[in-house]
Amino acid sequence: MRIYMEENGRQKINVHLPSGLVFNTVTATLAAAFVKGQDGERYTGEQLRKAVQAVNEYRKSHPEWVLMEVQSHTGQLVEIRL
Amino acid sequence: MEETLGRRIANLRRAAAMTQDELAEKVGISAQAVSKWENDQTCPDITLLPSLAKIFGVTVDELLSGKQAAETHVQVLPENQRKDIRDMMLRMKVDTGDGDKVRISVPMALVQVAVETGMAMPQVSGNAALQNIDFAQILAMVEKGVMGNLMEVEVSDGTTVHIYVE
Repeated sequence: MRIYMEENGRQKINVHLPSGLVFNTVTATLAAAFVKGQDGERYTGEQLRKAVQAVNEYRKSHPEWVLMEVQSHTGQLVEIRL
Repeated sequence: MEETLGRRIANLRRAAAMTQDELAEKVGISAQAVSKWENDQTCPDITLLPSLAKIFGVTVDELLSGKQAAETHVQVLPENQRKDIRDMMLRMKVDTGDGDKVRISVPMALVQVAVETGMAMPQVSGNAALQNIDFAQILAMVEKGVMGNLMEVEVSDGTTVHIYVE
């Protein structure tokens, strides 16, 4: 997993994390216990484990998948690549 | 980051689950040449473009421009031509009137999990332009074989939202 940020063409952040460390059943279970959605909704461990499984399956068959890219008109760029 | 031809070839090759050696063999060149393409040190010879496009299942235009046909056409595929939902991607593009751009790509398998388990997707629906997307409806369309451009709308402040499945 790579989180990349740049501003006006200059790299600000470039973080590489092992995707397996972020997306696994343990983190899914922990997230179910501690993470709330934007409207305060909770996720069950089962929901998150299934989501993690779907993400991992796709990630393995499609490396370099860009989950999100945000580019502002002021020259900032954020990219999350799995 | 700009998507170069080399990066596009690398992504298409990986999506086709092919090694550089395998691609080189199919095209009739060396693996080193493929490596140089993918690192943008050289470009493929123009005469090889149709072969490359055929191998990757795209048009030459898609190969060169990166703009996929799925972005511009909607099609209903018969059951025997449909892709496995695990290989499908839901892409959402938002271009605001101010010039901000948001691109979100979510595997359809994840959309299916979210719909089936009643899970909200706040990272998507938190975006003002995307908050009313009906993922259940999108999933139902995809399950019926609808591919390509599902929606393209322009709102009053100049923001455009484009949703497609590939």
